[in-house]
Amino acid sequence: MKKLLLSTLLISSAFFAFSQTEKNDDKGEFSGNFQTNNQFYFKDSTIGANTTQYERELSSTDAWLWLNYKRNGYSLTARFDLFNNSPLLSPQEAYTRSGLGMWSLTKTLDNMDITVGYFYDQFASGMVFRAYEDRNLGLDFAVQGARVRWAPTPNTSVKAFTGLQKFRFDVRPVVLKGFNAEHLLELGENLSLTPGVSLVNRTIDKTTMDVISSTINNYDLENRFLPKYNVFAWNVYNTLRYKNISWSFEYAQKTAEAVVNPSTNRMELHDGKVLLTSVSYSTKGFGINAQYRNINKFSLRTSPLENQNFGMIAYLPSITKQNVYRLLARYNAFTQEFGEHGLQIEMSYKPKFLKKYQTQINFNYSLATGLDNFNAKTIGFSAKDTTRYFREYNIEVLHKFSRKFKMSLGYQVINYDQQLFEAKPGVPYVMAHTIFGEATYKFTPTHSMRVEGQYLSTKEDLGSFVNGLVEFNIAPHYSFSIGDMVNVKPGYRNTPAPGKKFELVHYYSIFGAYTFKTTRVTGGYIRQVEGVNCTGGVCRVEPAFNGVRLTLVTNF
Amino acid sequence: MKKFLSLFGLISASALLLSSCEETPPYINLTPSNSFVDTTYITNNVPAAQAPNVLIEEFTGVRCPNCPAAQTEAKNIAANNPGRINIMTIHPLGLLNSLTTPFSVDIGDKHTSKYDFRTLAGKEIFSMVGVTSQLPRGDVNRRLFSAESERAIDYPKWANYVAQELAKNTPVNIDLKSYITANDSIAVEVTLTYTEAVSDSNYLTLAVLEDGMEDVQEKNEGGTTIYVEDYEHEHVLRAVITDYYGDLLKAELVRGRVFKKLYLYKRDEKWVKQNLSILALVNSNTTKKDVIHSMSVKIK
Repeated sequence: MKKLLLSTLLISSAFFAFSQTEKNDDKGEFSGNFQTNNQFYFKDSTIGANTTQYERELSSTDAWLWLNYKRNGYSLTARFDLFNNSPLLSPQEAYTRSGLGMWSLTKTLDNMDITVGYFYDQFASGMVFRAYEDRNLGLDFAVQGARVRWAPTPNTSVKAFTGLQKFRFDVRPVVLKGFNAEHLLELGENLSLTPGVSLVNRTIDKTTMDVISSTINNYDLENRFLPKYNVFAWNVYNTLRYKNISWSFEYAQKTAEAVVNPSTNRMELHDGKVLLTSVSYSTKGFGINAQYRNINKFSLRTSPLENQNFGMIAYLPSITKQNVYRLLARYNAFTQEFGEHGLQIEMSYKPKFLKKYQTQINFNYSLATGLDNFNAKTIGFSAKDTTRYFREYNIEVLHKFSRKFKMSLGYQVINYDQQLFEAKPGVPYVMAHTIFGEATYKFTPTHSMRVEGQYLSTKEDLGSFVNGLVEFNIAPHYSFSIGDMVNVKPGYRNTPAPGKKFELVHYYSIFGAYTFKTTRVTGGYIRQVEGVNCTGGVCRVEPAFNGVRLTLVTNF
Repeated sequence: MKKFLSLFGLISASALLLSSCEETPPYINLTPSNSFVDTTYITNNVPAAQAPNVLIEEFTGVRCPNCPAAQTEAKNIAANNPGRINIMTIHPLGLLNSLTTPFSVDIGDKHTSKYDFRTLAGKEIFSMVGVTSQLPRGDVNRRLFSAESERAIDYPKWANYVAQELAKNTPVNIDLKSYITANDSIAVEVTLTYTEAVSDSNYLTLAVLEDGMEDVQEKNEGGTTIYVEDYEHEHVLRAVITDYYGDLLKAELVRGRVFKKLYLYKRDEKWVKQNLSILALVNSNTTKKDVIHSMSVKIK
């Protein structure tokens, strides 16, 4: 770390010295932001809030300070990360460390930029390479190395990089290399194509390979195979735009490497393929988007020993709807890298015959199945087919009654393989029906109230829930809310013992926020059920929470 | 500039593609196990713990003039700690060829070796421990000592680390018996008894060693390299009966855990029966490679 700090200081000094000698007219631009999340834990065995923070540390803090300085075509970025007793990177751990989380130095030339240090980037949709950060999930897949981006023409982009993936305050010793080229081809006023190709190479280090090979050597003879140090993944893609229609297509393939078969929990030698295609059409008052993805043993990580959200090189988010309401987001589907068919259809319609387009109907259908199970029966309407990994129907009607009052009502049906997604052996397949609604009333241009409610009905998992929330906003500074989610009926996992009565379980929340210019401070008491938390289609199982959460975000 | 960059990009992408053609895979044992009896149980009758023996694993070559000095050092350490030191002399196949390749007049040497001591097993063990750029090198119990950057270290350091290892305890007892069967196979009966619980995974490695082979060896004699034609090669690794990295002990390693195993391995007819011995190691094979106990017996 000391070496890294010293290096950064040296680079900074050189940067300032050099940038001052080049041009004198650029006075430079400094920007940054700061974010901190603080949690205080109240032990609560009734909801299973029992991780180490409830027993020992009692509080945790995460914080990030990001700074950027630009001058004369140079850009220097540094980020300070702090984790004190934090469960963010691993929910069962109290992780404590702080220091330089990332730094980078970029020089922009006429049509090229060169970056050394850490960088974030992605090729196409990220199916073969995506280096990104998602603080909500504790993910940071920055690459430490060197990258060149070149635009030989205004419509052409070429990228190449080499580096190591960041892991906490270190890097994983697995070398990544990548190349991507993309070109926008305009074939007329209404027609364009954006074809591209990528190639990514990952080379496993000997220490990691020693663990892989010794694991394989312990398999029964018929299950042993020769693993590969190198894997090559490539993709071809294109987006065609014609008038109101857009069609995207991406196909990726990777050479054979050790991949864990989740059904046997054993590594096997497989190549991998993934196909993603989507079509969208929009016109006044109507929009539709349909996407389909087929994944066949396409797991691209820093090593086959990594799983869940660790060491991800390829970005394969779930292609299901990202729900916002608390109970609608209760069941989420992880992407099954070993094999999955995914289908999603989203529609939005504003009927002309309803007064001045004040009514909007949204519909979503999402489906995930195994590779051998994508057929008319699983795609269709049959109510319960436990061979589906996941299915969601979601219909919502929004209506604006007046300038002051608007309301929405909706219905969601979920099919969810809880054994698969939450690794809970023996639990039954979840069928959940949820009715939901929201109403917003503006008292004045700055004062408004929002009320939302959901009722989720299921006999499985933890049973049925009701969730209600009242929010009062005083623009532009204040926002307050109070809510309660109540476990009103038990399910398979919390059925009371014979002779015992089921007691209602409340998950209260009280929240307040103050915003001033570019600074936002929030505080609240939250009691939260355990479940799967997803952001951007990437999910993780999070334990129950009971405590106070304080946050501060500011930009400058 | 643009042409140069295009060319550079094209060459880089082509190089990436071309480099996918060949790679040497890591060692994976694709041959059937030589284990014929494999039972495990827990005994209430836990014996007293054995004193730990220490392994000196010496990497050497017939063209390495300083290697005889390392062998002498290993023998001296063994003589000073009777019955407590096991030496395994490894001639790795395909590594450091300028030091390990047998002599042959066909390639311009003045001598021709009678034996080729190199083994694939030796190469894999050297790779696992960490290949060094020169010989002689050797490890003590395959341990990475805190003051060292490599497991395989220079021989003057061995005695100090051997003393450290001898002062430790071992959680496992090794009882070993070996004989030649009627069909000329080497039978190894091994019983492992855990006198303490172990949380790490453990492996059993069985190696066939041969002594008493006279053959040509380069030797540094007062700064001059000489060729000793009747140099006696001892403790030479001839084969590994188990997996090169050891066979996993597939049970929870609690106090009183017993493993009883019988291995059968076809004797190479070139190996002289009365010069053969079996070396048994209990070792880790994860990021740790440490040998926690070893035992050797002559094959009867």
